[in-house]
Amino acid sequence: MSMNPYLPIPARIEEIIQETTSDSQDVKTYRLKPKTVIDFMPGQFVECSVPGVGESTFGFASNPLVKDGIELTIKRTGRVTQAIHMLSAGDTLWIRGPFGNGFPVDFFEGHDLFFVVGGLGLAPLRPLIEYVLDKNNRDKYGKINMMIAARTPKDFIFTYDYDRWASCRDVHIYQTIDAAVPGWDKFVGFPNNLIKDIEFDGQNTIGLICGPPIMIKLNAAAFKSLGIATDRIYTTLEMRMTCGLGKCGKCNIGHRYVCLDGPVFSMKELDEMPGEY
Amino acid sequence: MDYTAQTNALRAAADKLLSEGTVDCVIGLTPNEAVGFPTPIVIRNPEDAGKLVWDENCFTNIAVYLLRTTGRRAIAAKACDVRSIINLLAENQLKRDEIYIIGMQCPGMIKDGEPAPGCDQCPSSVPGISDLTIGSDGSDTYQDEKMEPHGENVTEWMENSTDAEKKERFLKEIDKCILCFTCRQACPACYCTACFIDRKADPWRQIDADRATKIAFHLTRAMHLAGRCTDCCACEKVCASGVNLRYLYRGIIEFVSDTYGFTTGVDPDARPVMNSFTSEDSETGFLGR
Amino acid sequence: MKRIKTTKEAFNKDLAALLDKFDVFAPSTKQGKLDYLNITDPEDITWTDDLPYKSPKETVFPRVEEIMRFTKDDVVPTANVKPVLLLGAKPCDIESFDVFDGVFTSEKGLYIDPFYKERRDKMLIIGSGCAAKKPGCFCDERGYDMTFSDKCDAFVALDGDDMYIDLITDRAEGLFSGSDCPPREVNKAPETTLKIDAHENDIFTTMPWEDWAMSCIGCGTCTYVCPTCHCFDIRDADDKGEVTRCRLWDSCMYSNFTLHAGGTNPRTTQAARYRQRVMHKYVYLRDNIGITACTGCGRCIRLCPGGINIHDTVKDIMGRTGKK
Repeated sequence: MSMNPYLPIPARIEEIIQETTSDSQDVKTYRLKPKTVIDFMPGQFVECSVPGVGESTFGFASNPLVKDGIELTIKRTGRVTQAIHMLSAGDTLWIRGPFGNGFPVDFFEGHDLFFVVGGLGLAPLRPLIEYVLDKNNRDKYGKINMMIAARTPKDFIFTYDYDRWASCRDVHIYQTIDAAVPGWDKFVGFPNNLIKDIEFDGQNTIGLICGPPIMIKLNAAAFKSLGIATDRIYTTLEMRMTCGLGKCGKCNIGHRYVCLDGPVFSMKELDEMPGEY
Repeated sequence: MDYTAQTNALRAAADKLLSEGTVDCVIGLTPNEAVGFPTPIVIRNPEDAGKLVWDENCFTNIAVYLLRTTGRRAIAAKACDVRSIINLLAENQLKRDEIYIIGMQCPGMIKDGEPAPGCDQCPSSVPGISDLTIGSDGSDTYQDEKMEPHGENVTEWMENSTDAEKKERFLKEIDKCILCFTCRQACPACYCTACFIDRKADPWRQIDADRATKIAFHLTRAMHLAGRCTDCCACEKVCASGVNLRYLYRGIIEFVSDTYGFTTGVDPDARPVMNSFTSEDSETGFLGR
Repeated sequence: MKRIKTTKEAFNKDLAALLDKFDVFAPSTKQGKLDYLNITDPEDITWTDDLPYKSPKETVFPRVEEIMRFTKDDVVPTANVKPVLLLGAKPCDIESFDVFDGVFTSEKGLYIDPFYKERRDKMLIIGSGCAAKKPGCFCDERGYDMTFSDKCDAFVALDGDDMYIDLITDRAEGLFSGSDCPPREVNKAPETTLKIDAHENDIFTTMPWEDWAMSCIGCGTCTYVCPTCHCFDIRDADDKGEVTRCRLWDSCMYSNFTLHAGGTNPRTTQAARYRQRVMHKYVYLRDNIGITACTGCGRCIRLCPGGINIHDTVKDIMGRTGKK
């Protein structure tokens, strides 16, 4: 990273993958080739900008062990994401990072993992999934459950990865949607109501949740009731950020800055912080 | 002029209104030693009526708090506050039967030892409408009082100045501006939930190396306040940088008056002037005559 | 600490020679209200014992600051700003630079802010004292001496046409001529009596924030005139393809400060925003950089249209948490 943490570097858009197939088609994955290699850990994030429009914060969404490029999964929501969605392969995005703490992958070693994700929440956890499924790392972690939720069958992202993930040793993927539709033979309903039906060892499991704030709260409570201690339930927070450097004051929760002390927090840490997220 | 009598009458009125349950709260001003002038307070218990005060430093326009409270509200309002209230009534932002106006006679207020902005040129010491009258001697009748003219008369200056001089004056004033938007927040007519300058999709609050944003903000806001500005000077009274916005808004008011014969803040039942296009208007707009 | 005696006339002459090298900011009434303004003529300085309306933070943390410029395939940081000479800074305002240094350049912050650091390193501060507290001032309760601060390069005191200059750092040596005189007697700084020792969670939900912030209209004046408020936003300007990136002041008192692009807003009420302002100053930053970010200048109190008083709020918190 350059000495000046505000300066972005150019990253060429190599490929754009349309993720959701619902009418708005508002989630795309951008495969980028930065001018210099960006080395990151699962859970870290990047500041990404379109010059003249502005900068926005995105979690890395790709395998951290693949060094020749990064992927960002971006939903069209505001001004910057709108501008990004207007770009094509071959165009340039400007990025700076990595920022944030990332997941404590060493602490996770020896544990089973249970991922509960909603919609776009799978994106910031994908680097961790790829990391633990890597052939050099797989043996360090136990059984892996994934409860992937989406509004409708068309709103799942990274569907092309599921078979590859499921083919790894002791990996179980469950999908659920909010309301039943014809032809859907998997789960229906919110994950917090479903995870109790899935076999896992609460005493030895790390719970990982990512999704809207309400989903984090409900599933953390569900995990807790199923025997996972709060210091073994992890989530990654989304906050408005400007600098990513703990200076601009936007992502301040209590004395912590989500950009420096987070975005990954254990529920134990969050319980000790003012509930302003 | 008897501020003690006015204060006593105000406290008695607030006590009565709250005790009898006529209103849920009373919006007024309370002494504030730290700043040296009374500042806003909303009281809900009759016991707190003694916190209210009326003196020569009650220049703050508290009509803005009617938009930040709900229920039946009484307000200790002087003439300029009432002009703002009338505009809000005319614009359907307040319900008349929810508002109890304690009309405080005010011959002009003092800020920092001088007449507060606009006070020496106030059209009337008497509130336009009220449910209860507290005259300047504390009685229930208004007397005829006025402040001596002080300093430059902005209205006359505007009449006697060329467009170039007015522009120069405006630019000189906004050079002091730090774009904190306090003028907007303090203005009872600036009640948009999403101000044009805060719009997420199209952020105006940005770069102004050549003061372009300041010009855009103040002129656009002025356009939005045409026919709605009541000349209460709440904006000038709160400005940390001492920007004399009246050199802009007096021009808007004169324009509306000359063009449409309309004075804002007089008749709560009058249709807002910018909401009442007729083919007789001197500016025919899209009719293209 | 050496002290020299000169005259106002001689001082102005020496100062005029510095105008080429420095952007000089000094208290001036040339725009009406007394403020720290960029002056080009020493005669424009208003020598006063009074505290200017706004803080001098603009000298190191401009309200709008270009930080970089995009070219076709590179980005160039904006460099080499002209050094600032801040003249006549009051002791409370001098203290505020400690807070800025803590946030922007301390090792505890993990990252050094290069744009702030460049300005700050080049900056020269010449202080001057206050004669009396303004209504709302409480620097003494925050433990600061209103007559003097040595956290600057030099300190001046005017006595009629005579001027005394305390030379504090090496950088102030030789800038001004004068004859040596006995050093100043420095008062003992008052004891800090206004601070919050309670833990953030003990205050966050248990205090009557709604009552305290009841008259807040969300204007943000408190943050704009505050010498220690430093929250900012970054915006791009696109002038016919010439893209510059700027940093500009933002305020936690604005309703859209924490608004996510998706519409979520973790801080929805004005009471929560006021709580953030008080807590950030008196609790969070003290935990992070060891300094309470309030100098007791009283500006936010004097200029608040709603009459909100951070001094009384903190005093109230101290009473309620039993730590007086």
